[in-house]
Amino acid sequence: MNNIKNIFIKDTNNKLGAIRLSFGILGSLALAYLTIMLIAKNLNDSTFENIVIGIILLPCFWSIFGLWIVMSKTRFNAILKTIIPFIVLYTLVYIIG
Amino acid sequence: MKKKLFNIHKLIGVNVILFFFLSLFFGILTIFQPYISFWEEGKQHINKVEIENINLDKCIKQITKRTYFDENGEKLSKDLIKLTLPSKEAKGSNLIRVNNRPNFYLDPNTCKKIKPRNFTISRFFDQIHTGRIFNSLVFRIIFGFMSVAVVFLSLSGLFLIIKNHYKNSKTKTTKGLYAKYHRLLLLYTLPIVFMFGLTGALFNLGVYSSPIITSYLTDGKTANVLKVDRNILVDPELEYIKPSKKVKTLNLNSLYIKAKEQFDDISFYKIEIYNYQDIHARVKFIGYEPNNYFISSMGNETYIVLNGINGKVLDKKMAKDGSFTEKTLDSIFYLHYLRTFTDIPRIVFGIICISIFIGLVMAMLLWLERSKKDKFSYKVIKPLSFTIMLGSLIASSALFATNWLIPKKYLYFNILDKLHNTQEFLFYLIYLLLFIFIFIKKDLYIVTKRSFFLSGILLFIAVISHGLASGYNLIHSFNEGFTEIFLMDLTLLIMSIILIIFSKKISPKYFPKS
Repeated sequence: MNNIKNIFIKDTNNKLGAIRLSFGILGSLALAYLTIMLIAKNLNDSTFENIVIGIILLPCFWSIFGLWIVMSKTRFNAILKTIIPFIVLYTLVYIIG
Repeated sequence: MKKKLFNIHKLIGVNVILFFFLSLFFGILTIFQPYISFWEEGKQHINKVEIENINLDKCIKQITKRTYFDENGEKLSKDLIKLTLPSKEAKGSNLIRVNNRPNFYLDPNTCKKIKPRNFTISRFFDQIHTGRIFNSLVFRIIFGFMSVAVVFLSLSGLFLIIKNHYKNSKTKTTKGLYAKYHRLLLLYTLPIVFMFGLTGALFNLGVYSSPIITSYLTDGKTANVLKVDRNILVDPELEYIKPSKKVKTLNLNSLYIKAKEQFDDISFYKIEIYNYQDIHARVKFIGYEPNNYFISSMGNETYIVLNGINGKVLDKKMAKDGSFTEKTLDSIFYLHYLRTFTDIPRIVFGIICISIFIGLVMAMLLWLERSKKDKFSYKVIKPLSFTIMLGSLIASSALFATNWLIPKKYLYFNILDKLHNTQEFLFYLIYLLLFIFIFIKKDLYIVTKRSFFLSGILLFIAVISHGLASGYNLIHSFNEGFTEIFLMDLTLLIMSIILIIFSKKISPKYFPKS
């Protein structure tokens, strides 16, 4: 019961917690990677140039998504913020590719 | 909410700060690579030569008269020759280097083959800067993740400053002092730090993070980004034509002058000769445009291809002809590589980097001040951080000191049938010894004082030993017109005096109490 409460309720202390950190680092990497795949697919230059532009943008998107996920109010929010965009992006990548 | 942002900034920061520190410290030394490389090598103590005055044909003869074999035991062909010309800015060297021969250097004045050292400080600093510590892949990848973290830290730091409205009033406590200067110094240099992070991640993680996207974009044909067509990072070689008829190639110096006439503003640093002494001879001159900032530094090369028989222009590309992506990449690389920087911009950039460096030291000390003293992480990071910070200083000054001091036959030693370099060994040993010293002494104030004093003395030894061993002391090199070597000696001397004064004047209140 306590665990479920932990996930859903806004925490009063300012500890980051394992869920937020792991979703903030690994989840945001997945999101960022899917984003750069989408961006690179829609560029009109040669393949190599598209890949290099994507790879340059990767750290930017990684940190932006990471910040966005880590700053969520509840732990459940952090999980949602990872999973929903992941499904959306993955479908888009799948359809376009 | 703000507290959470602060905590994540602190958590990520303390995990990567020491790697960033190493990278930045040796990066600052790498900015001055040309000067270090001129100073450290007796063979490079030569006057500046204009490329027009080098007898290029005589130099080429030195290459074609020797036969070399590659790893498969096949003869290296003599009609493909790649030369790097002496170029202080772009290559940091005074010698002609033959790129497709192993360790082959030529003196530009006499065109004789010379053998420089295998281990040079300037190259070693560059290795540490890019994360090739112990030549291992693991550290390269760690350094790559560190650069990603630097991007994250600059973003989250910016958010912290926007949200919290810090006041830059006068501070009374040391903690406040550290916080203020960490914030201000890194805020004003934020664009450069951000750019360092982005490009660093590209260099170290680029190849390892690209397989999925490459395979996605090429529809599963390949996962190796370097095998994709139209590689804009590496200029492709001209096509090789089988030699058919022997015809003498034109004089290379006249070709060089001809190539130079085609541009208003050019500095060549590379010559590639295809099909030498053949009817299909072609000569490619590669260079950059010194007055064309931001789009002509490393990726977007300017080149011209001349016919070797009649000197006709076969192909020509200028910096403004590059594609949009090439130009963008080049302007991103421009401030990381400093290829086209002359003396004064280099020094200005060095000063900017030193201010980033001070901001970083402040961050480390701030973390130590704020942390709870009985925590495990504090007990580990306190000695470790001081080992890295002071160790880099002592170890690099020890490299300068031993460069001219160690006799030639003791430069290498043999353990377990493997040749080791004495200087490199010494470099790592100093870190270990300092770590043990900190553990025994426990008082960081005294350790810092003595380290500063020691590195000051070492730099002083470096200047003296250079003067004695090479025969070019300060006065002599000034009279002979070796400006770079003179300035290098002078800087080392000034640094040593500053460090010794620092070690006398430093106050114990700035150190975390144990």
